[in-house]
Amino acid sequence: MRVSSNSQYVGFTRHVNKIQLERDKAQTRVSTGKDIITLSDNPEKVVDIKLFEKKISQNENYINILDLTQQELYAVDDSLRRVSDVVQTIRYEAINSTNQDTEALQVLGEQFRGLLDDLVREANTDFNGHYLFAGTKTTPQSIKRDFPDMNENPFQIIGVEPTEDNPSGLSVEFKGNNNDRIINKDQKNSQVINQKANEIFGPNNELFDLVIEMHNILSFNEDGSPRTDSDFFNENDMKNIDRVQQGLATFYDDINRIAARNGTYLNRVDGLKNQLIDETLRLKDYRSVQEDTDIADAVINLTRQENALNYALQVGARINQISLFDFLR
Amino acid sequence: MSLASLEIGRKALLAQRMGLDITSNNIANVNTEGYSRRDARFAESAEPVYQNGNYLGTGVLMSKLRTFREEFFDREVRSTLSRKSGLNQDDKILERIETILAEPTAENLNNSITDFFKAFDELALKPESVGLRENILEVGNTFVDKFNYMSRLMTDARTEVGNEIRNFTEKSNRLISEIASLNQSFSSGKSMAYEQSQTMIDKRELLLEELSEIANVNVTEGGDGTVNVFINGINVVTKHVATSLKVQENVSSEGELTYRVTTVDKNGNALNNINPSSGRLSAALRHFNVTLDPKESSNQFSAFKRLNDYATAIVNNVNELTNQGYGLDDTDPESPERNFFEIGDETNSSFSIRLSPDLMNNPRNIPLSAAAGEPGNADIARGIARLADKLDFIGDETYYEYYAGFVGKVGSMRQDTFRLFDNASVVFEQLENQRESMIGVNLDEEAVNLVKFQQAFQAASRIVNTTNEILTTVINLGR
Repeated sequence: MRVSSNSQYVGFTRHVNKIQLERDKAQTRVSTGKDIITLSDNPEKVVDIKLFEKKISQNENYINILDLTQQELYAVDDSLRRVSDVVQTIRYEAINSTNQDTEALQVLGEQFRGLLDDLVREANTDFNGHYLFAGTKTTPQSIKRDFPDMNENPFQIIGVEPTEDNPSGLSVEFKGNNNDRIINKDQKNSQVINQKANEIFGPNNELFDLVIEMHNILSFNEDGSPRTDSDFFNENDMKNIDRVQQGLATFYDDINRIAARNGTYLNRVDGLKNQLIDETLRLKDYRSVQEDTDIADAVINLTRQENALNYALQVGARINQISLFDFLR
Repeated sequence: MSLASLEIGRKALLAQRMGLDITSNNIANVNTEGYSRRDARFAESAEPVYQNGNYLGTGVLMSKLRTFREEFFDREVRSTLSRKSGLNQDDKILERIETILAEPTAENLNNSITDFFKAFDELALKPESVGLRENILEVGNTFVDKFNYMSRLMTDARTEVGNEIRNFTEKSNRLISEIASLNQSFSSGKSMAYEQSQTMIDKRELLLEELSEIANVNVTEGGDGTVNVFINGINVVTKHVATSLKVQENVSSEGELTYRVTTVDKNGNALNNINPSSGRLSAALRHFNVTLDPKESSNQFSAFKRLNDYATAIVNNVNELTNQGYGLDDTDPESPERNFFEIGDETNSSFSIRLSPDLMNNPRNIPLSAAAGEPGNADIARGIARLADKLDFIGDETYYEYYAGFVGKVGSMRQDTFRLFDNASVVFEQLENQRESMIGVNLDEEAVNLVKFQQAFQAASRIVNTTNEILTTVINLGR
């Protein structure tokens, strides 16, 4: 076939362009470490990578959420332990009261009043801006106040009309609810993260009632009159103390059971977190296989393209220099 | 005898000089686009003379100026060029769409949407946190901005393709007019020199190839040296008559703007639709009317419409949930029915999507709770986070599958286009090489011709010299 002078140049330019394009791609692969530079390099792989990315991104988010959940569950755990300690102290002091002199009973009565305050304070514990034991009424604004003197805490000691059964007129009002607070712990499952007030303090605040009753027994006689230094426990008082003590023991067990359940939440969250961390590592490996370039291969390819370009330029330069005119004199 | 030699020498000098001229012209036009080389053909001069019982020749004449152009190659080159140019235009537009999608970089749209859903999961842990609520608005704004930006870029791309359609049409009109004008020269200039007509044939072929880049053309010979040109069966050049093309805008009752190109009469009235099957105009029309049409209605793949459908699906899915929710301060059991997103123009949702101003002004109003007066309830927030895995988020796909399918389709389209372009380029190069091997100038060959004609010219001049010497001798015989 005849070869025209122009076709030599056109062919040379075209081939050099092609090699330069390939060299440029090889160079980008080496410098970025990525095998796929543009979407159209390999759309199927890009789609695969995108799906991996989404899963990795979600997992990392859930790991973060589980971290935060763990912190909250630790806070619940601490709080439950403090409640448990207060209940244990109350129980101990209740038993201890039966062996006290009459002069000490009033002091003990005041001590129970203080322990009631401690218990209510623990019940109002908040973590990171939300109450732990108020169900879904987690903010001060969401606490409904029926009377002007009510505060914005979920639990409040209020004064009611003194009665024979409750001569101190003390009562604890619960203004939260017992609804579940739920989070998504992974793509399919959710987790309740709160412990409910009705389980910890009784459906009708019975734990507080027991402490108030103990305060009443120590501070008031059976007829409702304030206890004096000469008023010692009668038989009914002893029976009531025994009943209160038993009730406190039941609550103590229940609170420890709830703390244990909280512990299982913590374990589950921890286990799931580790599972997600492992899965994320595996997914990153898969993604890397799809996305990252084999550096050795890329470098060899780059060298090959550079050699090809060098030779193409050398040969091209030589061919284009020679013509019959060079030999005519 | 001597006088005959003088005449033979004269003819030879003229013929060889012509050969030298033609060779020089070939060399001069070695890099001229569309030039086809010429070759001088010589023949023995007619009417030999009878002398002393023998017929003697009377010299040489240049009998023909040969060219090597073949209609077959020209036709095939035009056809392949049209296909190649169309695919190149496809690639250019798809590359732009690919750039708009910003894949596979970390700055792509879907990463922002995933961040948005993820943020709701985190918010579900602390729905009462105003800081996190403000963060969700920021995250939401980020992806809304990306939607708006991508929509703007798509609109810009479409506008630019629309301008290209106009430019192609104008250029086509110029080319059609020039071809018709050349036709007129052919039909009116029968006494035109052969060299001149060959130059015009080359020029016309160049114009036809330029036109083929824009739209595939069929060319038929008119017999008198003229050609008739058709685009998709519609006659645009008939002898010296050129038919103009014009871009016509159509707006459907749904507000869908599409372009078509028609032939027009002298008064500018539309005659026939030009629907070229290949070439740059064909590709540009297809992308303007389909791929970049935000309101595409023929159920073909439109990247712009996909983007709009995506924005609409996000808005609908999220709003459906927030409509059932309550903000931090909502205590009335009746839901305030707040939207998270708003869309200004339903037909261009990616451009007009924005966050509800009510929520922007007061993040406490973001409805994350499923019950009034329960700020710790995050059922709506969890529901929105769960949208990330909703199987029928859009059609029967999750949002991610939809997006992956969307970008995958754009990538595959460009990949296919690139492969086809590569193939078309190879075929074009082969055809062009074949044609070039016939009509192209080879400098070495021309150098040989140059030497050949130079030698012959020198030899012819020797004939004249020798004859002159003989005549001088004869004249001096009588002295």
